Amino acid sequence: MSDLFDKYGHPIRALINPDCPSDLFDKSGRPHIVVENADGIDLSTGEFLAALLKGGNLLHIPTNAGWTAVIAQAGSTLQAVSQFRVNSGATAGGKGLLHSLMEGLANDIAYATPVNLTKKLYLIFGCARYISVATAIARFQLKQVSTEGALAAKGIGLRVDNYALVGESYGTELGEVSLATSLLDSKEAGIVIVFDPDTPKIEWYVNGVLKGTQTTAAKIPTVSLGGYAPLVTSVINGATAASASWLVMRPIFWQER
Amino acid sequence: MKYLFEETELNPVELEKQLGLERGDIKEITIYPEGAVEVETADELSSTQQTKLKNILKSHSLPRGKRAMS
Repeated sequence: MSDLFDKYGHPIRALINPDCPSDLFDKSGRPHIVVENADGIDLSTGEFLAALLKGGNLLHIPTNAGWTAVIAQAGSTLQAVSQFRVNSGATAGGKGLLHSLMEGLANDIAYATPVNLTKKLYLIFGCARYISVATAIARFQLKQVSTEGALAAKGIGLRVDNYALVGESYGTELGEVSLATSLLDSKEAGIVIVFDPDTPKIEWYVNGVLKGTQTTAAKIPTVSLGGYAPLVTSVINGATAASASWLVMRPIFWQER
Repeated sequence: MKYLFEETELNPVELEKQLGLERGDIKEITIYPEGAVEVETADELSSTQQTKLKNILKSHSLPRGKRAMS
């Protein structure tokens, strides 16, 4: 209940919008948070953004530069300013994959250890599948190898079995959490993956709603991703000779400093 | 009127056709961000096929640059 009041005992509702009671909670039922400075004064919008940026490393991941393309059969890739798309192509065994290294993001460990897993991390992106192919598998993963496939070493990510969303993670063994959600063809879904090393847990949100949580320690990566930590987006069509497309839009990486 | 001029797609299936190879002879193509290209084949290519492959890549303005870390 203490979250309903600020540190002076003022109801947070009053600080948000007294004319709109629904603003008291977000759509997941959590109380809204008011951010104050050291003097207890509400931060202005400008200050709030500065506080967020000061607290972590924010990267709006470029989708049109710095990516290595890997294609098999008639696969293809497309890099645009707001999204990237990989296609399996219409030949069985087709693959489209893009990968790029995530480096220079950890403040307090060696540069050569690119992703620090002792700090909270958010991976935020929009995604969509285009053309149903029953055997197609699409993925967006932060991991330790740049190849296509399920996590087999430390990492976190999202898997899409044709349209069905699955949260993937790996600590010392593979974790798979059904997100009980299917994409609609060519319609975007907003994904937020929250990596929380303190609990520890990994949460997968779809369109603002928590759809899956991984709490088994062996399935949650720890310490760091080591010296090689690529971000990988991929699609394969498997045995079906049909072209499946996978789009990842506006990917954002935020990690606690 | 509009006239569009472009190369054929660069993928293993197209490369196999142009090089006169069997399906599956080219396993994977990797294009690095700097423009270096790696072509993985099932079997060794003859020197004629390698030259032909190089010329096909040139027609796609590849390879260029040197492979950096990736």
